[in-house]
Amino acid sequence: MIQNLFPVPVYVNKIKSSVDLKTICLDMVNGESVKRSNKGGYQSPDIKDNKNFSKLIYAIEFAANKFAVNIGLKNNLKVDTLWANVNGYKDYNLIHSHPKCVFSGAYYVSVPKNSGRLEFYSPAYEGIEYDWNDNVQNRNITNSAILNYDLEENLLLIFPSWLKHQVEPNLNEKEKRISVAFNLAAGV
Amino acid sequence: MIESIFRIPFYKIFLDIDNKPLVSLSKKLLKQNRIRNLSVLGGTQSDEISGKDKEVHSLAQLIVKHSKVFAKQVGLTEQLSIGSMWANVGGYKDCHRVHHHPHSLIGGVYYVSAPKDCGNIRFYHPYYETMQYDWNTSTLNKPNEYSYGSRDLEAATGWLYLFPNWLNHSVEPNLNKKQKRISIAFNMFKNI
Repeated sequence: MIQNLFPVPVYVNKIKSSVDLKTICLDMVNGESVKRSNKGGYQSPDIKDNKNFSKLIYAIEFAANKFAVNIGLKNNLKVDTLWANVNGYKDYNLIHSHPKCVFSGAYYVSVPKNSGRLEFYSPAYEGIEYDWNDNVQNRNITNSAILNYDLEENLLLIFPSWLKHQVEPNLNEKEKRISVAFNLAAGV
Repeated sequence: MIESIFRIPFYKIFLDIDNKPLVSLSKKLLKQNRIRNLSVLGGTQSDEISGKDKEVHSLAQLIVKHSKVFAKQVGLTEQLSIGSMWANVGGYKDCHRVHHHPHSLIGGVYYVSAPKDCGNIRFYHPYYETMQYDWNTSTLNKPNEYSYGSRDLEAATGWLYLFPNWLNHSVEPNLNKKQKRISIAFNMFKNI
């Protein structure tokens, strides 16, 4: 009998923002920026206190605490940091995780065609790469080192903060990929 | 909606076989001083069990059969054979430190004799250390399969467990003062 140990949970939902976040994020591009995992493109500083994002933060915290209860965690999570990403042609994000928090995630404001997918790395990435990859006959979620997640506008993704991920380059020469990313921590 | 995007497969089945020849084999190996202690902390781990050790033939056939079933369900090659096999005999408070089985495809264990309180086998989430940091007691409420950092599975006589070779595991101390825990462990490799 086969059973599964340690499934990796991701919360997926679609929410429509009543605020024009696309215009708000594009207006930030000429202001202060930070460099973290992004290669090219714009990443804002922490905008948690920006009133334009209050409703989004409320929706994120509501969803995250529901998610937390379902996977056995306490429902005392608050958005700790929130930032905007605006990525143009061939801009991408290097592999990274989000230490010292519980969940991380992103809300996708604008996802033009061919603007790249989110790549999740299996916790067992090294083991699968080293010993299994040459012997996989049918790729599935029990033997994959990487999962490419298709993105779409209004998508809210929340995942364990320790789960490594990166973002593929935006190959749309005309339109930018815009997302609002965040970290959630316990009782901030 | 919650999606599981990665899962770690595990296979278990009860084998209805006579364990007496395997107990005899374990004693024979130790008597012949065929020993190589690797992951054990106390107790004894044998050297390679070979094709000349007839006592293990029935078990070996079943291990190959079930490994192929497991491999098919996981999507791995079914061209598998036993690459190495050894016996573990653990007395009071003997245990195995955390380890995995590099260069193979599937690791496994068959419990020849698992007396009461002889210790569970413990599997560790690949991100065990990170989870200890960020999903600690101030975060956890009622941990479940999505949030466990480790899982304990009972060592039980007659059960065969198969798991990915890269999955870290350890064995708790045998707290039975009178009876030994005896198991046959093995690695499955792709046929060359």
